[in-house]
Formats: sequence, structure tokens, C-alpha cells
Amino acid sequence: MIIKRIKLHNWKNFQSCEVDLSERCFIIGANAAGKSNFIDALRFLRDISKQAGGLQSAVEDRDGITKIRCLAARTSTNVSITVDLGEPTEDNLTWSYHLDIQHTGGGIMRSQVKILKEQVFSYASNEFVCDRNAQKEDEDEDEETLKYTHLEQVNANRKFRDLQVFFQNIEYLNVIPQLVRESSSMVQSYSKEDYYGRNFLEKLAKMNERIRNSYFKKINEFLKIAVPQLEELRFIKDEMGVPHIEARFMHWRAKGSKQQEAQFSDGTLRLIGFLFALIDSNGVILLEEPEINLHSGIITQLPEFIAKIQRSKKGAGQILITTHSYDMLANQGISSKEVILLQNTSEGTTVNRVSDVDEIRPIVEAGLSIADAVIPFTKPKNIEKMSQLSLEF
Amino acid sequence: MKIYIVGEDDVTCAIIKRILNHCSTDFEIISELPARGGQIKSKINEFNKLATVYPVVLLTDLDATTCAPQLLTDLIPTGKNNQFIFNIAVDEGEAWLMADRERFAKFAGVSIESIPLSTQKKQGGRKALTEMDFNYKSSMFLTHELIKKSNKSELVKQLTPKEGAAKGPEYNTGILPFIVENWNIEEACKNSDSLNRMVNRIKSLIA
Repeated sequence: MIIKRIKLHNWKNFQSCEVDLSERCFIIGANAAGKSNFIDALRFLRDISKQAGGLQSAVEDRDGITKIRCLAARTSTNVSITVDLGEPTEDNLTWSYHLDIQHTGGGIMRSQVKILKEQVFSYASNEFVCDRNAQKEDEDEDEETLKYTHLEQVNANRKFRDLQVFFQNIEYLNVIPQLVRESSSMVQSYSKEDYYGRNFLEKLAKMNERIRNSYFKKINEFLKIAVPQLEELRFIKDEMGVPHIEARFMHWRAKGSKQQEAQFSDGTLRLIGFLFALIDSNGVILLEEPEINLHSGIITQLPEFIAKIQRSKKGAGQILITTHSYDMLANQGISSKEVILLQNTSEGTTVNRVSDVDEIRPIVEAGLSIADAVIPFTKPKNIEKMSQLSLEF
Repeated sequence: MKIYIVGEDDVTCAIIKRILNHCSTDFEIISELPARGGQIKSKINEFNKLATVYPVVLLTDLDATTCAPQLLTDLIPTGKNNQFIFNIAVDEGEAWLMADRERFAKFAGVSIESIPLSTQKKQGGRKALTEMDFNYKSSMFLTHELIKKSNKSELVKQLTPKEGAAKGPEYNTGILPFIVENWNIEEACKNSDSLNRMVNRIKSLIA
């Protein structure tokens, strides 16, 4: 199952937007266009659905509804997210989930959010299996119940458990090498599992050994090509029981020398993290700028590699990638329908598939790559003036 | 009028924009293609095809070996689309800039005599054409010969290439202000027929 369509209202940069998504999506736009905010809408659904999650904490983690609500919203006070799910190869949908929330409390009351609407439509049974509306007279609802989604409650979501599990499995992937190296010393981020590095090693430790070994075997094959001087990557625990990854760094000594994650390069750590997540996950993966720290030669291979993983039985069902990378987008196998373009306007950011943008579609149709079509389009209009800035202080 | 522009580098793109501004204030540049310069010739057929939708204004340098019309027929054997405004700078954009001898000399801090005069040359066609007369590539002349005579130390540092580099470390920073602020296209046209033609093509595109 994948997310076929997403609709946002007053979500951060997006006053109102609606866009179709495919199994593999590249999300592009200038700096501060809202790429991360776009995928944050999906993380938000994940945060509601995850264990020890829930609506209120998902909003709190984002510093409250006032930080979520779009600055271009004007009189409209509510924030809503709608997603339609379905199988990638079929036109029919399976589920639609709609959540509409608004600020409540304030003053001496605690600032929270309340649900205006929560709806789940099941296409299999052709009915709403959840239909909550704050406006409607309903004896089961009061101000307190409207602070919790049915999505986060196992008793209430019995009829759409699939949906909850689906959201729960959304994985945000922004491998931060520094966090892998020093997972204990960094300041805690607002939601622990978010930055992949932090609990990467912990996660490895918890895995079934056979599965872990089979993953490492695959990753080793890949590393052999990408980072040839590293061999025999494996998982170990030191005397204190602390998990590490270890590899042999080959040099003039015949057997090389052993190195652990603290000695790995940033690029190597990111690569290992990505590969691992791509193989391990079977839900939606949100991949934040994978080009960072990696050689352009590796980046050019990524789109095909991702397509291959998606085609294989094991691996991610849907991957949304934010990127600025020419090398990645130059791959001629990327369709203009797979590329989501974010553009800033004074009324918030607009979201369109490149195939729907009249000024870019012809460039792709003329035979130029997505990179040539969209990168000049998204770059700041007068960027060359940057070199004309005076540096007198 | 919405158009795409195609240039090999920042200097070429700046020249295109300046010429467009010179001819009309009506142009709205959709984007500058391709994302990376230096690929112009390999993508020429794609630009030609694109020009069926919106006009494409392209500027490229003349290769030392070929004459301008030959370059065009070599690159697009199928024939050029009307809205594809294909321009070749003889021999490079830099020559067009230096063709405004007086202002460029002042900008570069050199005497006007340091910049060669234009001459009439036959490029293989029947008619002799007026172009600037450099002994070698005009950008090379600029960064390896002319700039050495400059009395502007800041500009000298910007434009003089370090060993192993083709251009100075702040080449674009140094040159772009001239294109935007000082370059007099009408004056330059007197010394360069290829520039004059580009201006005329743009003018007829609006007409």
C-alpha cells in the first residue's frame, strides 16, 4: 500500500495543496520552499499512530498548533491533512484518512488542539468506518474525547488497524553521522527515533541475528563497490555489551586494520544507514537529501538502485526523497510524474507534479533531463548577485 | 513574452539577459537552461524541439575550427525552428564585451589602445564581416594579456588565473558588473557583426 494522494490545508508553508504521489517521489524546491515541512505532514501522522504517540504529543513536539498553522492562513484557523491510500499498480483506493484540528484552550487553560473532524473511509466496505465531527451532536463525544484521535486508540481503530500500522511504519531517514558516532552525547531531539543515527546501533542490536547477518551480507556487497577499502562490515558487541559496527580498513598491511563506526567517514556512515533502511523497511520511507556527504558517482546510481529495491520483494513500498542534487535528477529514468515541485508564493507554497507545470513539462518532453528542467527553475532568480555582495564589515 | 535562455556560463547568460533588456522590457525569462553549462552543443536538438512551445534564446561561442553557419547546420541537421534564436558569439562573449572598447578599457583600467581594433574578415561566406581581431581566444587575451596592464589591483586579483586554472578565482564577480552596468551594446555592435545580428534577431522576435 502507498500514499496515492495528499491534501494539506494550513499545514506549515502550505495554505492549501493537493498532489498525487507515486511509489518513488522526488521532492524538489528552493531552500526554504518547504520540502521538509511537506514530508513532516506524513511524520505527523506517524507520530499520532506510533506507540506512546498521539495527537497532543505530535502537536507539542512541533511546538504547538501556532507553529504548524500556515502563516498565509489569514482567517482560516483549522489545520487539516487528508491522505488517500491504495495499491501502487491499481487505480482504486483502499483507504482515505482525513484529520481536521484546531487550537483549544489558552489563557489559564492548557493550550491544546481539538479535533474538528476525523474520518476514515474504507473503500473495501464503501463506508466511513470512522466519522467524527465536532459540530455534530454526539453523546459519545465531549471536549475531552475530541482531544484524541481514534487512530491512536486501539479500541477505536479496530476497523482500520491496517491504517494505523501503515502510518506507524512511516520512517523518516536523515542519517546524521555525528549521532551514530556519539549517540549519547548529543542533545535529545524532539522525537527520539527521528534522526536515524541516534538509535541505529541500538536497532541493529535488537534485530534477529539471522536477518541482521543477511542484511549485512547485502550491504557488504554494495560497499565493496562503493567504498572498496572497507571490507567485512559486521555487527559486534564490545565487552560492555555496547553495540558497534566494525569493518576492516584495507591498507599496506595484508590484513588491514579494524575500525569501528567512530572512525568511519561521514559518507560511509550515511551510506550504510540508507542501505540498511532501504532494505529493512517495508512501508513509507522519507529520505532527506541523500546526496549529502556522498560522491556524485554514487548519487547518480541511487535512483536506479531505489527502483530496483522497490521492485524486489523486500524493501520499501514507497520512498519520498527530498533533494537538490543534479546528479540524482539527471537520471533519465525519472518520470516528470515522479517529481513534486514546491514553489514559494506570498500565499504559501504551491505543490505540483512537474508533469503538471506548463513551463517545465515541455523541457522534459523535448528530451532534456529532469535535472536540466527543474534545477534552473527552482534556483533563486538573482543568485548570481551573490558574488556581487560587498564583504566590507 | 515568456522565453527560455540557454547560455554556457554565467557570463554568457548575463550577456543574453542584458541584450534582452536592451531590446525590450517585455521578456520574462522562465529559466536558464541547461542546469550545467558546457552541454549546450550536445543538447541542441532538445532546445530546438523546446522552442516549439516557448521561444528559446541561445548563445554559444564559436569553435575555433568551424565557421558560424556551418556550426549551426552541423548541430541541427533537421533544420531550425523559427522560435529557436540561435546565436554564436565570434569568437566568444568576451569579444563582444571588449567590442565596446572605450568603456571596457575604462572598466579594466587599461588604455584604449591595449584593446585591438575590429577588422573585416571573411568567415567562409561571401560577405566579409566585421569582428574584433584577437590573436587568440578573446577570454585568454583578457585574462592573460590585457589584465596584466590594468591599474585596478582588485580586478587584477579577480581575473588573473592561478596556476592550473583556466580563469581567475573571481572571474564572474569581476566581469558581471561590466555587463550589467557599463556595457554599451550599440557601441559594441559597431565592432561586431555577430553581436549586431543577435540584437536584430531578438528585435524581430518581438516584432
